[in-house]
Amino acid sequence: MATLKKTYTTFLVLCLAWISCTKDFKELNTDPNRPKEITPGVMLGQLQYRIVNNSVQAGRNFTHELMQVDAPRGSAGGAGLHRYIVNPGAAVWSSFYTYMTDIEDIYAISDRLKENNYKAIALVYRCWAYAILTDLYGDIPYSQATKATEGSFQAAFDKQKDIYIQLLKDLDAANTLFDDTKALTYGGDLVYNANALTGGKNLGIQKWKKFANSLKLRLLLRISRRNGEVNVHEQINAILNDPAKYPVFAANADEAIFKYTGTFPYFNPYYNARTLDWREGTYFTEFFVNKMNADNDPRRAVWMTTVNVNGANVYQGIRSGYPTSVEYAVGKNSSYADALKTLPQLGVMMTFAEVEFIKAELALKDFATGKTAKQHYENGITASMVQWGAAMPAGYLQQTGVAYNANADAEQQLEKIMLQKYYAYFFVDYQSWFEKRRTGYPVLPRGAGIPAENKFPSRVPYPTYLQSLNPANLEAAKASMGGDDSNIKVWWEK
Amino acid sequence: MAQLSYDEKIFVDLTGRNDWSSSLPYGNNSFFYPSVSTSFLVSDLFTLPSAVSFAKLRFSWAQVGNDTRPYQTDKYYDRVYSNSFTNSSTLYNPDLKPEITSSYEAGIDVRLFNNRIGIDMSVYDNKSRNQILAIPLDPVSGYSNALVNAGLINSKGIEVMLTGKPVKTKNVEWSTTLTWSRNRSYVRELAEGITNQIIYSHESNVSIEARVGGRMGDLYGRGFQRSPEGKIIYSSVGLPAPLNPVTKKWGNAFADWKAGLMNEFTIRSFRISILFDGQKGGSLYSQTNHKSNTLGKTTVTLPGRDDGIIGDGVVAGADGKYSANTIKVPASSYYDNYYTISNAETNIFDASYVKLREARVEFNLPQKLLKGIGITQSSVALYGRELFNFTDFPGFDPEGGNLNSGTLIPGVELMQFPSTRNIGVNLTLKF
Repeated sequence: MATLKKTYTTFLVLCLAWISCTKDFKELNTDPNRPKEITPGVMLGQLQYRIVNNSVQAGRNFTHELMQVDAPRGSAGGAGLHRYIVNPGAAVWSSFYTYMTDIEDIYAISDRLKENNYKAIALVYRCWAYAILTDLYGDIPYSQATKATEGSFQAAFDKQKDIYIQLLKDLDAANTLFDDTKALTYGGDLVYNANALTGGKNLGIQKWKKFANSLKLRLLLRISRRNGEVNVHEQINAILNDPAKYPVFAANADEAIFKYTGTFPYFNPYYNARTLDWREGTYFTEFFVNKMNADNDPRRAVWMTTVNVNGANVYQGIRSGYPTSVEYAVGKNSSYADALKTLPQLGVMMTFAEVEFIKAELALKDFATGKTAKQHYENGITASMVQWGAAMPAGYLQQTGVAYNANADAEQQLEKIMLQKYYAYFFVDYQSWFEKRRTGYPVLPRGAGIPAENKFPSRVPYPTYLQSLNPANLEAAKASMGGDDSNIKVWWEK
Repeated sequence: MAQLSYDEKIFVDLTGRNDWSSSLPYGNNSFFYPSVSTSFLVSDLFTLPSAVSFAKLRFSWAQVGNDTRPYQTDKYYDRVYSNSFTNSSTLYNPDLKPEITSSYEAGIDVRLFNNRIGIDMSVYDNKSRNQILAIPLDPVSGYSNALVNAGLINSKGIEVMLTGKPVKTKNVEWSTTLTWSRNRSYVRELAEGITNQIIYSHESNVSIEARVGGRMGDLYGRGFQRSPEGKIIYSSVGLPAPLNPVTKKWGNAFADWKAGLMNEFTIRSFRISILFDGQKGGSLYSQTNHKSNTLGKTTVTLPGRDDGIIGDGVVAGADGKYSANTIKVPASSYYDNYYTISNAETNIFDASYVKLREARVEFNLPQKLLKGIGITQSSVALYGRELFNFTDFPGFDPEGGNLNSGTLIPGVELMQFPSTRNIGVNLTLKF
């Protein structure tokens, strides 16, 4: 009997030990090395840096090939964007949606902390990124996206029109939220350094406000064919008529560029790119180079390498969309200049030049921009030269090929504006492709190796993994879009 | 925990175990798992024909619980660099449940003719409830990975082992062992509202997916666009048209069955052993095949090398009708296109094989020679491993796979090294 009692006691003690032990489990299962809560300041900088790297790389890898800025020196398999073949999901889909988690988080945390400036910055990033995504794919998950923490893994797709309407509202909200009397309490802004006040004013926040409205102009112009379904003209006029309430970029100093410091960790994303990858696999195209040669464009020296032809150092390009049997030799044509690999201002999101070209087009279409289309056009070219640190030669704007003829018919004037805008979009995500889809300019030559049935693409097909992970919503989106191939036109292009 | 036996003929083992895991959420962290296993010595319970030297039946039912690695149940921020943080790309799971595998197993062990022949066979049926899996998520959800409870995975299988000693004399002995096994894992349920899960994906080239109603290890990917007659559709420049964007199933990573045969001969002082093993079925995506064929490194790419090749397929006309492709293209273009990395159709192969896994010849030195120098036993052996590989698989090794954050993924081979053939000499001295 005594033995039995002892056993029970031991057993009880064991049970108690367990209970007290499990109480500590919560603490035990808390990672001592990672924080559970953070400030928006420690999240903003890395987001700014990583997301712009992504868009800059998309500019080079995707847009430059498709838009005949560059072409691979050989592509035997017959594929390639330069032959108008777009692989499903071949764009920033996954990365942008992943960054969206941080953007939403910055918004939610600063909402809790009542930090309106951070909230507005998060809105600007969200609009900038979602606008790119919807322009790439058409209908995309938007209102139901990034809801994994709420247990939602299969997001419905929103219609592009609905997305655009909300983006425009959000940019308005951001414009109102920005408060240039307050510094960013937790710092972290690496684009405009809106972390402190200068003479009682936050000059960085003023620039953020300009970015929000400039971006809104970009979006409005993009969907301008849909005026009526959305009050595009009204919203454009509101911005143009009230620069105090809706300031836009007015100088190169305003533009949204992440300037790479060149010190850890903010290196230019190409700073250690191998020569093989940087300038021995792709070369600028004839289309891109010949026009710059004809104009004696000073940006060539910043962007391109020279090659020696018959004893002279020249800029020279290759064909795009060539037959599979063609292969260009290494080093015989101009490619990306090595200086770009460390250039601080490569991190472009939106430029002053773009705003001037937007205004040029608006002026051409009789909006009251305050200047003539010609003036905006020339300002745009000048702004791009300043942005790239290229000194514009005297008489550049007056020479044949560049000079703006305000007496030409409107279509010719538009073509002129769009060609210069195309050059100003160097490394700017997918914008030159979006604008080509909207306006048809610049007119690109069609290479001899492009199969006759391949049309110039109007969108990127959805990533294939959606067939596995979100099949019902994917099918609904395809039905709504009228298909999923690269010839389907998105809402604003229809 | 208890062990019972009846007359040393029937044995029953009972276990019960409760775990409290600190790595699971507070409400879900206690889990109990019992087991019952029984065995019946039939040869002792009943009088069997004299040919049967031993017979045993066994039945068991067992549950096994499992938890996960720590810190998966709360939201944390990951450090990007210095004082910069981002959301983890792996979704935390505050509702994670322990995984419980319940298995039934029945087995029989019979030895005949004075243990000269042995048969050991077992069948099993395992049900893994809430299996904890690290899986890729749709990044649209805001996260690219998650640790989830995977519903119900059902594995059924059979394992057979036959042993025999056909020859047993004073100087010569031959023993042989044949093993054979077959396993099937079916996806019965996934997390609520989910019908498909990607287990692993190699960019957008090929993925291993669990779809409700399907099997674990199903391989999905893209293939050629085909005409209604099943011909490959070509573009107007004579190359296969861009791949069909709709993915489909091309096979399963797991073998239909596996088998092994071991023979051992002892002839006086020599001992010779030879092990063959192999598998039937099982599919493997081969990046080696993609790479070597697109670069023209294989004999597969010889046709058309000198004067071009006209691919076997059809071209769509303006009227939507198909006519035979007649355009000759350079072989380099053709094979580059045909075996492109994202073409699962041309890069997935049957991975059946037979391997001479190991052979060994051992010679025991006579005792007489050793006595004088204080050595009790000595042998010298010549052995070889991974000696021969009989397979139609085009890569180096049909036993391919790849390592993905510490887990070996079968079904997708990413240009791994072939397994190395070892040949060696082994000298054993015992003092």
